[in-house]
Amino acid sequence: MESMLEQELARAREARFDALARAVAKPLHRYLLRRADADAVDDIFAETMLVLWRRLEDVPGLGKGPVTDPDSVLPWCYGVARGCLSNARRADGRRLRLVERLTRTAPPPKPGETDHPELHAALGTLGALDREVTLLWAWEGLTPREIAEVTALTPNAVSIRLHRAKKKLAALLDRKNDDKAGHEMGEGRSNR
Amino acid sequence: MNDEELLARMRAIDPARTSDAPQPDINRLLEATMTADTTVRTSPRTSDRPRRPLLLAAAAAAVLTVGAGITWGVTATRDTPPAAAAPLVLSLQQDTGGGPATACAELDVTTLRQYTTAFEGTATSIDGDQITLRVDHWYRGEDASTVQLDNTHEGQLESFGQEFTVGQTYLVYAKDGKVPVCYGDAEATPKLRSLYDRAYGQ
Repeated sequence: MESMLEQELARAREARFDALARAVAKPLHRYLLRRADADAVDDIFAETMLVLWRRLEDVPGLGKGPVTDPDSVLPWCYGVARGCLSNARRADGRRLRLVERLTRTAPPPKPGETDHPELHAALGTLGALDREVTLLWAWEGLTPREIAEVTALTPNAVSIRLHRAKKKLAALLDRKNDDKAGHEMGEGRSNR
Repeated sequence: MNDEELLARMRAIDPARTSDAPQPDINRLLEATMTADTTVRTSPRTSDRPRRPLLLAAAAAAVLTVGAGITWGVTATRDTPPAAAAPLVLSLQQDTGGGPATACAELDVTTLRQYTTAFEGTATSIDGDQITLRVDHWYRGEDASTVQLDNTHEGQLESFGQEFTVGQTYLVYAKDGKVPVCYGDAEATPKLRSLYDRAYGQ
């Protein structure tokens, strides 16, 4: 039978987790929606929430009472989601390699990547970490300092990677635009 | 192309914007998370692990399932196993020549039920191929609190083995002290736990 103190501590802990979860659940769910296969999102999300519950004491900046500034706890929580996602991917990677060995087929293209193929292709030319830094900037809207907390890079390293990645993407997309424009002009010219 | 244009283009392909996936049911999730885990410490941790969620260690803490319909009442009232119980020793079944492909079909309930030892455990130390696991939950078999697994695989394709990481939790099945050759993907996930629950009737 728990003592009065243990019960109080447990209640307080539940209250803190409740406050944290309400502040971060939707952003974390979106983070995973953006990166995981649709049928894996719920599992990885549940796993992430469980890790947050177990590691509640480690969440930086989490005091008592409601979370007044979700942005102060989100980067760390994104880091947890990223870890759970990485685990799931490694498990999937092994299963996929096995299936490929047995059936010798290439994996099918992911759904939703048929719009804006040139941007998806350009993102594909980035290394995995550079791509993640770019996505954290563009989709999660994080600052370099916040991205550093998610990825365990220094803010300086993040700034450099982000700058280079943006330049590379812009160059690739500009080149694509020029190519397209060139074709259109070419059709006109051949009529002369 | 400047930053704003690039940002606009990136946002246009944001999967969260166009997704019709339902919003998470936060109340149900909170309930499931907090009641599932019965071994949470209420005092601050004094572990010497880094507080930053490293890629591998972050997911390692997830131990118990949040799946619906799982009765964890058994674990909640279970006494901690006696520390004196001798560790269970397991080793990998070396390839018997039947070919790995035949044994590596996707794990299912029928297959699992053929094995007399099954548990969920967390890797506490790794010394070369020798893995020590702390048993978090027994599905079937023994009552030892630790398992020593000899993860040596001779001449087998690397992708069939399981790479262990300290702090990560795994679901392992075995028979007569042998873990079958194709037990890769043993990392504990809600889906895999659900399979074990169904196989061993919990």
